[in-house]
Amino acid sequence: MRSASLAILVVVQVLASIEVAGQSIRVEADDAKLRDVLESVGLQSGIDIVYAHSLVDAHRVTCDYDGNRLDQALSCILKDTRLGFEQVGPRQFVIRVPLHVDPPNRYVLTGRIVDAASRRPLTGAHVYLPETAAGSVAAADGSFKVSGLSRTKYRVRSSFVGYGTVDTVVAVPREPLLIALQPTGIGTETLVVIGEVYRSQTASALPGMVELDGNDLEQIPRSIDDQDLFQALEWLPGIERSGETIGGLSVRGSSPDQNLYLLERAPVYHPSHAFSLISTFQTETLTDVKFYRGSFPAEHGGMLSAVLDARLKDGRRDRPRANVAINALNARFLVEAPITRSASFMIAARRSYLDKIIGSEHPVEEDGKRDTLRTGYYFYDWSAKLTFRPGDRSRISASYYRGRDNLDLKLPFDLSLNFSDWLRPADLFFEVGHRWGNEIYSVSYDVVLTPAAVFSATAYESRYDADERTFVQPTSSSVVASDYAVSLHDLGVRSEVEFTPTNIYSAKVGLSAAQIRFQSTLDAQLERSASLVRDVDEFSELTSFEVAAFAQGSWRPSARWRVEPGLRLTTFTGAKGVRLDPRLNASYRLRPNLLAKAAVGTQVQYLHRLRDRYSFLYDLVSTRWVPVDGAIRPSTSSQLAAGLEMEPSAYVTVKAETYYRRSEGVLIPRDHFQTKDGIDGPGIDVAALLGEHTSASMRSYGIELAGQIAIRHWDISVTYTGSKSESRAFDLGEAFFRPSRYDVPRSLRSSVSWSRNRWSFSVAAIARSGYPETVPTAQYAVGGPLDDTEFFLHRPAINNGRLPAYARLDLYGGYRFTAGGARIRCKLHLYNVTNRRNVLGRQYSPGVDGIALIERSGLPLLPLFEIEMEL
Amino acid sequence: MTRRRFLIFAAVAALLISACDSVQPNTSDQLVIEGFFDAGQGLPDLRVRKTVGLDADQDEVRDAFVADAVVNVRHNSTLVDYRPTEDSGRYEPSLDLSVQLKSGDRFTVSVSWNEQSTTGSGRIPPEVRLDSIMLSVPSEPIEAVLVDSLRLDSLGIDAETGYLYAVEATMWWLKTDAEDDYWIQAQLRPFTEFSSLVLDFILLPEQVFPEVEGSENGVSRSWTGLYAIPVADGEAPLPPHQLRLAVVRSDQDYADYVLTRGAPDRREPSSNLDGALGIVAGISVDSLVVSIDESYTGKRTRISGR
Repeated sequence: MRSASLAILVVVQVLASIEVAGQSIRVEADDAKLRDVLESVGLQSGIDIVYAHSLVDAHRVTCDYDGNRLDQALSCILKDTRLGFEQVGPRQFVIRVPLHVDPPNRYVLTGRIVDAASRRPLTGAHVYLPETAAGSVAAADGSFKVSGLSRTKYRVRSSFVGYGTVDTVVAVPREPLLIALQPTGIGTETLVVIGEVYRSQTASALPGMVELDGNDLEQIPRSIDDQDLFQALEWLPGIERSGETIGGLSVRGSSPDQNLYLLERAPVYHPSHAFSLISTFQTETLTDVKFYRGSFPAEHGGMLSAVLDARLKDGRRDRPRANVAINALNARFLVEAPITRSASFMIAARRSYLDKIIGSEHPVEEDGKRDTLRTGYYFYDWSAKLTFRPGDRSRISASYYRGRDNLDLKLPFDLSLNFSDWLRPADLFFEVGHRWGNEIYSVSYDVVLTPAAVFSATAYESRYDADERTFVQPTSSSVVASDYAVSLHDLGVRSEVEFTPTNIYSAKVGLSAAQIRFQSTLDAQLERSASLVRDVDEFSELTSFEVAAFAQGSWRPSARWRVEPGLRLTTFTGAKGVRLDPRLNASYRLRPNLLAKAAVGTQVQYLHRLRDRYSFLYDLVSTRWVPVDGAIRPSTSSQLAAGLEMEPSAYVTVKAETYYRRSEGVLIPRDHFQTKDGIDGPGIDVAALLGEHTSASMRSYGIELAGQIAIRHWDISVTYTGSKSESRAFDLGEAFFRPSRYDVPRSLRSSVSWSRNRWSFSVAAIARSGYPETVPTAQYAVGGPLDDTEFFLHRPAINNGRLPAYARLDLYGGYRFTAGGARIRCKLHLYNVTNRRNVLGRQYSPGVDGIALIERSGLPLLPLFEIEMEL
Repeated sequence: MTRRRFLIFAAVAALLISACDSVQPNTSDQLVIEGFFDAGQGLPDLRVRKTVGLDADQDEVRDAFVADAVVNVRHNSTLVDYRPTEDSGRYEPSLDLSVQLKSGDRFTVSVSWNEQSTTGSGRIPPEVRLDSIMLSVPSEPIEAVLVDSLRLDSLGIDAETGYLYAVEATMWWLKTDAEDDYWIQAQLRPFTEFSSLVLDFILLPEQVFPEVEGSENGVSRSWTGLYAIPVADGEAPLPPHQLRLAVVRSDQDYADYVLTRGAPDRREPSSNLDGALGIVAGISVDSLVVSIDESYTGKRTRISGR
């Protein structure tokens, strides 16, 4: 119906002859300013010609017209611009960017996309013109064609899986273009550039989406580890770490377990090392990262809040490259190289080395008694990918990831910074042996079926497991020994076909299926005394199946509009029926440099990540995922988001987004104040774990602003987030919403980077509200039938207060040089340069003289050094 | 208003609204009620206090009595007015009704003060009676690690090694027909108290559990706890001391109250009063105090026939 209306409008406009009664119009313009010409015509005709100065000021025109028809005069004047006109009143015309297509579809951009090294055509590669939202897919011979263009300059973005994206500016008309794409890695030393986030014009209509590709990492502010993707993402608006530098990502006030992390299309269930200090996503190994905040395309689902979709590098196809580096936390290497003309590989590893410095085993002796104390902790991960291209149209890749953390302690109870006090044999000691990590296998096959259809299939196995062994001997007659293990085994396949029949329409349909097996076991012995012994032997196992189908369309009815409807259908063992989650995203280009986006959609989450809140025997470092069943329902959410992206000049980018999300069925602790405080607990059974939690509603809303100025050697970015995140649990008697655990009303981040030649420097600052805390407001005394009167603090409401504001300033400096054929880069990062002791937690205790307040502070000033060498 | 102005206004309004932080502590005084209706006893006295500011010392907190409250108790269908006693904060029945609380009796406590009103109710449980106890004292002290506290702001743990007698005590009490509805609080209270953070995980001087989870032995159920008596060295004899063994039968509300009393730095006890703090609960208590000396060491001693 809408298309028909537009067609009628066009016909009427074309047929209508605008004759200016009694007025002749004479235009003689030779490379004249468009604005001057329009003013002259307006004066001659007596017709009001309306236009935005910013729209016409950049144009110079040539026209020779003599007559009395204003429409013909304007057509002549505007023929070499991308502008059109429209009569909006009896005596009023508007100059504007055409609503549908440029009237004279005269110009066509043609060319070929090839591999830079082999010159082979890259079938299926994409060409995209951000200003017009027009694009094309390379045919079997690598050729492409983009039509409907005007005589002007265009930015052309070319991309292909496994290759670096290339931006080129071309003037149309021109000779056929030859675009040579480099295999990923060439010219890029690392991957993610937060600065680019605000500059890039993504092809998607999704607000909140960030697409990260690999160019100039140097400008990214990082907290601790230069290679950590999470620490880079922290600088996006709306994203906070759940701790100061540790913990998962809280996206728009949600809990970290509402994020889906994908590596090579396989889910990663525990994406962190070192007690969540460092993420498993090592940017150097990644080539393509998409991060969706709130609004996802239909191909993604299963979590409420965010999706991180990352791909490993294929490996260079022109020549080998090796990279080694060491920093304060770990040492790493990466090697990528061609194997044959059609195959390449990438392999990377990193490992912490503190245990190698201080030693993990310490033989001790005192009074003839010998023992071996242990202080071992390390983490490591391996990433590898083998890519094979049997032909120009297909690609097969096999990927592997393994990351482990290993904590091995045997220590006496008396710990202090004076090692000589406790580095000796002890009869009473504790041992902790914790191991946890992920392992992922993934095989993908991509094939270009036709120039307009690409088929992809992935099979994966993702395994998360953790083992917590504890042995505590606090007296010579009592022992606590436990062995607790958790595992999650996800075996899945997914396939999809993407159709791009024209530049106007495209669609992606797909199907996925997964079997997820959850297992946990506890074998413990609590020997309080010789006769007071309790054995615990518990086992829990669940298996779930998830099947999902999705369809995601993309329709560009005009150069200004882009509409992306989507639908995801899911069924899950234990959940009733089939769940339908519709999504609709749309973008509208208000001006050439101003894009509006909006999205609405629903999400469902079938897995809940929970942790026991009572016993020290289990769930210390482990993550336990619990699937829905008859007792608990899935979490659901609906989100509405809208945003504006503006480039007021070539150097400035501004983004603004606002969102509202409402979630139901989110599990929160039934007893907010309960924390692990004893050996006994309700057990590892899923029902017991669920009994510690209750269902809640959550809502969050906010506004996110981001601005960036990138000019010459300078890059300045500022982001501001104003938001609220609240929860309410009727089961807990909560009639009103209250601040949720990760509510941060205000967050301001900024960075200033300068780089030139060999040097680069940056200053990064963060200031945000403190996290909510439950503050006592009074104290009282009360007794019991067996107890004396005791003193308590009255905490009338959960999260009724807030920790002090968090602020930090980081400095960074880098210098690079070449020595012996190697490119060497030295970096110095000063974390918290002002040594501000941010308050991360508070403990209030009633005492004889009043309230004792103990504060837990954040990290002090930390100098972190890294040296990196590339061969 | 032009569209541009409207958009600017909307953006600024959204910014301000989203940045507004409405989290504000509540500081008004609240009533704190304490009353335990003991099976087999008459209507109990009630204690009424109020909350005080965080800057008060513990004497001020303890003495924050409310002397001018309106207090009454409905026992089954009888409404009994309470009056304050000379001892501020204590309220007693205004009439000597010679009532004896029986299993199954219901009661409701109502307190009004300073425009606050609160009610709490409960039911009298079956009487609990300790049938017998057994003490098991080791022949010699054991070595143990003593840790006073784990501090939030320090990685260091100041611990030392000492010696103690770990004494096991078992209590038997008679079962009731309706034990599915009740919880048991079993407690060992040596008159020489001792606490160590690490040992608190191992020692078991008190436990609260559903009555049906107590060890069953014919007509009775039992519970075994463990407490410690510190001594100077590994050869020291067991110091003479007294031990109170107590068992309380009550309902879920009381169990929640007791289970949440143990961490005053983290939380306040659960309350069953509507709009006030504290507890009013129907309970049944039995306890026994025994004197223990060196003669108990190295053997098990059973005391029964109460």
